Amino acid sequence: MTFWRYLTPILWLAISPLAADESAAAAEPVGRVELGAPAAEADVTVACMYPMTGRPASYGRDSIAGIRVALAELAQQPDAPRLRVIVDDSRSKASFAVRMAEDFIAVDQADILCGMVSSGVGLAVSRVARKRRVIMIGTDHASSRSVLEEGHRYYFRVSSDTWYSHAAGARYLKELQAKTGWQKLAFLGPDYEYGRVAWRDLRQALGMLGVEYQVAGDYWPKLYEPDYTLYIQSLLESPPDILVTALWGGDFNAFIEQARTTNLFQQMAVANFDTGGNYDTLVALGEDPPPGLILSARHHLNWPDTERNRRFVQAFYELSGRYPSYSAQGAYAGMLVIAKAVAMVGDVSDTDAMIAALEGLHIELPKDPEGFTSYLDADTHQIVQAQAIGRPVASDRYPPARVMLGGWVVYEAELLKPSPELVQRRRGGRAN
Amino acid sequence: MKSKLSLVGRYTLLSLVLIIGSVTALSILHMRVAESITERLAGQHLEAQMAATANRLSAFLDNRIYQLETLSRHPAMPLYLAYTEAVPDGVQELVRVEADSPDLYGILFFDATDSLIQVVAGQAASGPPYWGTENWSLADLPRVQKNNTEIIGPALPRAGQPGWLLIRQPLGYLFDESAEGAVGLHVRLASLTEQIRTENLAGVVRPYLRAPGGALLDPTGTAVPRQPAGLVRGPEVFPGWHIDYVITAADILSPLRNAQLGMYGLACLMALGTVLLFWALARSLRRRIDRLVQGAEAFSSGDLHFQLDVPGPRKDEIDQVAYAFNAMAQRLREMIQRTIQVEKMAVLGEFATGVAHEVRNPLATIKLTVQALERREADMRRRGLLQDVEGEIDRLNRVVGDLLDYGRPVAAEPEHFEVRRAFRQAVAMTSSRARELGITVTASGDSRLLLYANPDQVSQCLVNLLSNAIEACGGVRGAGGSVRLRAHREGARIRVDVTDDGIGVAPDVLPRVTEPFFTTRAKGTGLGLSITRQLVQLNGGEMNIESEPGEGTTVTLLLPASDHVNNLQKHYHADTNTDY
Repeated sequence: MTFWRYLTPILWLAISPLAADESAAAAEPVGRVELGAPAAEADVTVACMYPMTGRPASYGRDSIAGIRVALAELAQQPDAPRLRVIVDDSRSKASFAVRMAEDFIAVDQADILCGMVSSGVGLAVSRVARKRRVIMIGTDHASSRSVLEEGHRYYFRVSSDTWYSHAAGARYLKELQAKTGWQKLAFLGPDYEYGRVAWRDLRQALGMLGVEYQVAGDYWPKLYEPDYTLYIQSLLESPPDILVTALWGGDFNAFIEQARTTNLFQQMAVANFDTGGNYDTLVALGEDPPPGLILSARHHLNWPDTERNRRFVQAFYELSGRYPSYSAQGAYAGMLVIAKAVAMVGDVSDTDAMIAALEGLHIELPKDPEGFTSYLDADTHQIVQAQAIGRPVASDRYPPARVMLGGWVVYEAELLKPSPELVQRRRGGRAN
Repeated sequence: MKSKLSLVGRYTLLSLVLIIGSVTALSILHMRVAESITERLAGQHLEAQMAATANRLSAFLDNRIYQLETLSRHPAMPLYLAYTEAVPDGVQELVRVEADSPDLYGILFFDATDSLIQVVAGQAASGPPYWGTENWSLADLPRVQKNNTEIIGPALPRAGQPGWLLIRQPLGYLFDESAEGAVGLHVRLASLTEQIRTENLAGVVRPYLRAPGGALLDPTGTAVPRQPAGLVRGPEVFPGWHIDYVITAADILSPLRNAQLGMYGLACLMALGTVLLFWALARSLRRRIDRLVQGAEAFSSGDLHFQLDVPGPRKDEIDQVAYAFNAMAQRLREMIQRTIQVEKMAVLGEFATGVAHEVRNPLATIKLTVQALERREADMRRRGLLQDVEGEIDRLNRVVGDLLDYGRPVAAEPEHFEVRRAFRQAVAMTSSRARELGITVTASGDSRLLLYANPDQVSQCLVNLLSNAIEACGGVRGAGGSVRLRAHREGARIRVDVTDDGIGVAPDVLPRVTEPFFTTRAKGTGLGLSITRQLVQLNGGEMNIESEPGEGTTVTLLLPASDHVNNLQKHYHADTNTDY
């Protein structure tokens, strides 16, 4: 029974038409969509995988909208290469995504793979990319293992990963300890690649900064867990001073919704350094957020307050009628990075030249504060960006959210960059 | 004499008994409710809940075993052991889809030597053995077997990695029946332990999963370092795997227990407060009652002027008693005075009648004789002496008349008349004496005010008062001075003030000036003011005297106003300093 239950959709995938109706996908895509130039006119075919169903579907929808914004921007540049972008629903499952990636390469002749929200899916597809020697641009999944232990020459990431966000978080916690003297730390993360690496990155960063603390507990609910009662109860029974969580999206919103019915937020500060400042969470906080929240995300609507960022947010809003989550900025950045590399190389089929172009590529992105330009680190292939951490403050600037982050503490990009020694240690002496 | 147990003391005792009784009754009720709740929560329902939890856990394991059988019985699965490259895509898809279950980290394949040879990462996979196999081993993990299914583990959470267990079944080699590998589901430990959560008994029963090897796990999959007190062995769901639990009714009942302790504390505070309150009340009450007793004792000893302090706004029962006590004393004083006055008047009446009978007739005879002698007397000096005798006879006759008037007062026969009529008569009758002493007599006020009284008696009163006033002015200066008559309306009565700027009356003398035969003048009879007051009272009025020695005296008469005044009032206007 189990076999046939899963085999049926696999067969359906195999026989489904490769080109979906673009007009239908323009509304709220839930299956394959093709964007940009037609196959015959395209300079490069980019195949992306995002979840379009289930709890993380909003990330997939925002990523597609981010790609549309990027394509519209590129269309205004006469010399920009023409991108053909295929997007399909990974369903947040490695098995689906791996099969999909193989088909993209074999059937669609995809030149570049991109996307993935789940780190587990991202790593699985990354292995396909390495095996098939196809460049992969990670736009969202944030496990630092992707660029460190599992990094390879075909893999690049264009948004902050767990190391950058938790290196910034560790510095924030160190400064906070000097003020409040907190001692006990607990971690609550989804039990999969992303949560595990986030916790390891945080502990490693705290250790490198010499922060002394006690671990009051680490808790591992499964991804997309609907009920956090057990974990909230355990946290209340042995309360830490600080709870760092790597829950994201609907999981983090569900946790806050349940926890705010208890006195958890009165007993401990709750920090989420990588995803907690996402726009959908700020909307879910309402006008009366629980106290003690310390949040950040891979992109913020109101930081940096630059023309570049405002233009991106406005373009996204005009296109979709809503404000973007950080995943949108990642997908948008991915398209711009690919376009710039193709423009530099000219021939996307020259993979080595493309890799050389991507390594060290500088590109202006909405997340760049004044005076800084994001770039892809030649060694790790991870984009180097600053991190800003804040707390919820009342704001009606981006409705329906009633709060935005404020009271920013900004950590410069170069400060967060993993040291060569750390990279070597994480890679076990292996070169990329 | 003090009672052994005062009234307040009795009330205190009663209140304490009520408080203690109520608390005891509530405490008994509380204990019964608590026992009932404990029984309901942890008693009869526990068994059913534990059975349901065991079923849920068994079902989870059964589903995993069923899932595993799908793989272990698949004819192409042995290819993973020896010919991985030959595994068909469809079979690889199947394994990847099975590995993507949210409860699994992945699917692992072991060769005949129990070495891990293939891993298929699932959705939750992270770290070893999927990305590196360092620090990953099955050695030292407990193993239990049931039929052909082996459960290895649990590997407890450590170094920031969650715990896991391996559910494994043998997998035969394609061309070597003597060798046997295995395929296993790498299961999240928390997925298993979450099954023991007890929704309905949350807070009452704390379940734990006892794993082979003795590890005790809470529902989040965290190893419990110390075995909690009161741990009870529960049902076995797989060989070596038990659901243990601790009944922690105390936790859920702690609010009730805290409420009980709070109730006791509150009762103690209330009892203490009651004792203190009643003690303070008793002190205050005893002090005030002692004062009442002191007053009663003073009263019984004849001191009718003893007054108890009665604060104005308080007016509680004790104050009312004190007030009644004072009122009683005052009424008693007045009654005694009235009795004395009545008796005095009776004696005076008899005396006056006797005197009038015995003195007036002879005086009339003497006067006629003196008048006859006077007419025939040619010597002017003797005639003068006879006139003096005649004058003294008249004075004696007046005294007798006054005495008779005072001792046998004539009932007033009121009629309506204007006040100026009385004023005019009084001023006329005293004008010669006033001129003699150089005293100015003036009248002011509303000249047409109507009195309802006996006009002759009112005139007599005013004559008495004017005479006193003129003499008082003459006494201080010998000549000069002024006397003022003033009339105005005061409610239903007419107020008449007779004011002089004479010698005044000393305060110690003032209360006695209306007593009969009390006088400060050598030629006074001591009956003028007595008669005046008596006549005023007979006409339904009042008389008050205010005086300041050296400054003067004001005598105020309050007399009934005529009912007709309402009809006539519109014709009159206030008119001050009107001469009569």
